Amino acid sequence: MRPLVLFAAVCVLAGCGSSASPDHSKPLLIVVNAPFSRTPYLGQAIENGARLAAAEVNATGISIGGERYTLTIRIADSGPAPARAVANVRRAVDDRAVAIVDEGTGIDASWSVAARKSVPICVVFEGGREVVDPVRRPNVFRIAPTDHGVAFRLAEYLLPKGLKVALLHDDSDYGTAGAAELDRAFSQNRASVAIDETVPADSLDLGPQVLRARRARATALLVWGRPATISAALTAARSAGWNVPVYTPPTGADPFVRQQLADHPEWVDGLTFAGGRLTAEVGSAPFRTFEQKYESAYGIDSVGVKTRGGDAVVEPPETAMYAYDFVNLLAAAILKAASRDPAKITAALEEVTTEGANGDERAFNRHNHDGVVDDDVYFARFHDMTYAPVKDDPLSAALPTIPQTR
Amino acid sequence: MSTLAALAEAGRETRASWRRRTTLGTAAFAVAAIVPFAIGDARTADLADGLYLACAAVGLALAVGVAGLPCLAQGAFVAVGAVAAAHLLAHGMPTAVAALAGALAGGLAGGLVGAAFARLPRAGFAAATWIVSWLVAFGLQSVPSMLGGSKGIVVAGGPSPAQHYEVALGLTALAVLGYAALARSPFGLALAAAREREPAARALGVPTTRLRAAAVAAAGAVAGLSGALAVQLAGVGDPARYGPFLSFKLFVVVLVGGGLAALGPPAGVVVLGVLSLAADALGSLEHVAAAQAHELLAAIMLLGIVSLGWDGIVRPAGRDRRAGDQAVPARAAPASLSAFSIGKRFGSLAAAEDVSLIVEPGRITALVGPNGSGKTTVLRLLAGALAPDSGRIDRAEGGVARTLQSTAVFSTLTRVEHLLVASSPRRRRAGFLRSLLATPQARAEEAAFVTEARRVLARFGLAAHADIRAGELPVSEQRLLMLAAAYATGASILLVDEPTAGASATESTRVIEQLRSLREEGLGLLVVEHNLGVVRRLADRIVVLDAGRVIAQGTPDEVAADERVRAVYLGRQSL
Repeated sequence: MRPLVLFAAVCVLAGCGSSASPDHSKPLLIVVNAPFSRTPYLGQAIENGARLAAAEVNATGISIGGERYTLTIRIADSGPAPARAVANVRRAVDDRAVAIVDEGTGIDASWSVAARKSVPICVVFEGGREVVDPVRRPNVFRIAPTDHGVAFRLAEYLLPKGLKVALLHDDSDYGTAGAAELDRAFSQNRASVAIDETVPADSLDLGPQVLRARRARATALLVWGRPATISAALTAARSAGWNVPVYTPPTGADPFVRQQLADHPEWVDGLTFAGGRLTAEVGSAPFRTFEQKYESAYGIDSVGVKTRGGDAVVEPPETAMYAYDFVNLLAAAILKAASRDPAKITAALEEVTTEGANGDERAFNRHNHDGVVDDDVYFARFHDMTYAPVKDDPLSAALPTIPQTR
Repeated sequence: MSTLAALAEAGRETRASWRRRTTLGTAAFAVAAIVPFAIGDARTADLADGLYLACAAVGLALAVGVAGLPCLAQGAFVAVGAVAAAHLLAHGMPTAVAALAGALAGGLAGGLVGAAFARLPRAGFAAATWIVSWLVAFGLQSVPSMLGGSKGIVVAGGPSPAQHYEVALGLTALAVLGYAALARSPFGLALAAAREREPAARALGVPTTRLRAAAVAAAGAVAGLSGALAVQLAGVGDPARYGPFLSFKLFVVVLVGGGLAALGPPAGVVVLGVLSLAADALGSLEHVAAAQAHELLAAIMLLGIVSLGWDGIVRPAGRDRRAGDQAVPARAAPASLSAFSIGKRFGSLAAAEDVSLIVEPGRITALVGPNGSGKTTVLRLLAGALAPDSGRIDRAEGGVARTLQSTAVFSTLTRVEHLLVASSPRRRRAGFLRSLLATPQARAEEAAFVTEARRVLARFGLAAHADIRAGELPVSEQRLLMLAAAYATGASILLVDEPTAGASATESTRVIEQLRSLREEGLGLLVVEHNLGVVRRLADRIVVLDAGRVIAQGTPDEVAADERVRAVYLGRQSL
């Protein structure tokens, strides 16, 4: 008898969990699917960006056919494990979400689950080549620098310098995808690649791999991998007295790298990373405004290190910016579609334009679902635990520096 | 028997064995089948995933509960099935083919693990299978070609979550029925006997290692099938799903629900599911990630089970066994057992040396000698439990059975089941598949052997309470029960080790009468006995061992008169 009672309890509990709006407006659910438990900083940034935009949209309200709607944010932890990410998307679709803001884990499987109900998914972190394809994956959008863009901009930046580059990438999903893009980017100039090494993603000691790179007479290191891989490579090189320039994709700016090297701030100096620019031609004012709103709502994102002068270093809310921009685009698309039907909203996403948090235009069209173009990738170099755009790249030199101390 | 007649017979048997819990189970199944109509895809998928987990747990219960093997590799077998299926599905193969391949791959993996480790002691088996779990998890994480690395392998298309749910529910029901059929079959009884007392089971001719390997293989096949279908349900083959925690969770599910009852593992899954919801809620309050909360919960449950000696929520039900009138295969024809100059050494110790003796039909031969003279070693050599280093033994195949020195019953089995274990080598329609499917012929044969078992019990004066567990019997009856079990093997030669050790005079007389009765029936008996009074009353011929060598043999009078025997063994005693 007891198993039956328990089974019934499971069924009843499984049926619970629907959400209700606190006021008389009807909710439009947006699910943030991100690795909250594995990389809480990233998940929190995405959630905060989405919530900030939703709060702003809700202040004016969304009205469809005389009904008032409010955007409601719900988070789902993906682990990150692809299967959990897919299950989260399935639940979001079940719960009639109008859109999913996704870190990108499991997107290769989850997009089709959302596509059955035409629910749009916007990726705000993963930059893989196959993530976005307007023909095959019409419901997938992205606002984040692409691996392709980052890799080609790195090649474009490094090749004229005449460097012999050692390519180190870890064996994570991110590292492997980046390695493939770097391979394409450097394919016409193989002579400039001193060595191409795969390193274990979770290794704390990359001494042997870095030593091999040195023996290959490399004059620069390009490390593509998780933040832990980048800090391990920097540690191995600098502790051996090898002071070659080090270049990375956006993960080089992850607070984790600086936290790991807090005892040796001089090892961080000179680290150059490629990332999506935080400012537009109109200057830094739009981003600063966004940053102030963000900090008012959620406080500063402290990196956890200080400058030599003792100032606390903060992280500009870049990833939050992408989630923020997408929710604003989504609100515009809902108004344009004048419907809560996900299929109509997905179609409308290709037709609306908004001003992004950094002052850039954010828009998709039927041929392009990437909201950050390759030319938006810039380079910044660390000094004293903060970074500033480099001066030796035409697309970066004119960009203003975002203050990063408080 | 025609198909229709067989079906009618099966229907009659089903009606006869229908119980209240059967009604409840059927009603629960019917209610569960309509659940997808009431909830959305995501929750249906969650429940289907839980059912696939339950299915794998039922398979594991065969190894953990019935066979008593603490198998901690079931998650690895699930992973093997998932890997095989994910590759096939990614290449466009149909779901059914992928599921079959997953089951085969899981079964093969289980068979390999079983063959490699089934002979280890339980702690060793647990450690070895736990290492297998880790190896598979490491392999999946570090070899991207196995399951796509951290990105996984995308498995698109296939049945909807609702269809998966119905398939999972059906499979779980079949797994439960299959478990029940196997557990009561000769296969399950032999495994249970090996679980309770392995040496006694071996003495009755149960191939314990082979059966255990088969149990692990069967568990692996069910796990592989579950993994294959669950990977399609998930939509992605994700290495993160197949860490050692999955094996641990399945193990805990079986222990919580009860490994000796078919409905135990599903009950364990339900309990774990409900508690996981609670853990999620508590975890969110304490800002503990869901995955970590689940691991913590499972670990606490395991600690609780171990410390409280918990037997599981669902306890095994009593098993009614139908009697039948079909003839059973005849006992082995009367034959002699002869040993010619056999020897056995354990390192520098010569436990048996140049021993020659004969056990003849219709005669009782007593093997006597001082402690450490090699009697038990000779007995084990004659039974085939040990291979001689030298010499030759002529014995008819299946014609020899042995009882152990100590009283060794299988405490959770009934008297009838003891005899069914012993008679299993004589069964012709009790193979794994026939048992699993409970075919009409297998059921008819089972009924015939139940009749035979009751007849043998009556012959040994054990007919009363034939269906109570043997652990509840007095020691004197346990001793007779093991003798009856040896007889039920159908062997023509019985090797009986100290049948009256620790028995009262009345009990000894009862044993002696039974042994004489067996001699009258034409069986050949070799009895190892310290009680010289018993030897005198029983033996037609006596073989005396000292330091592994035969120092005398002949009639009781001849041996009693032997000076050497008097010097090294009898002393002031007399035969």
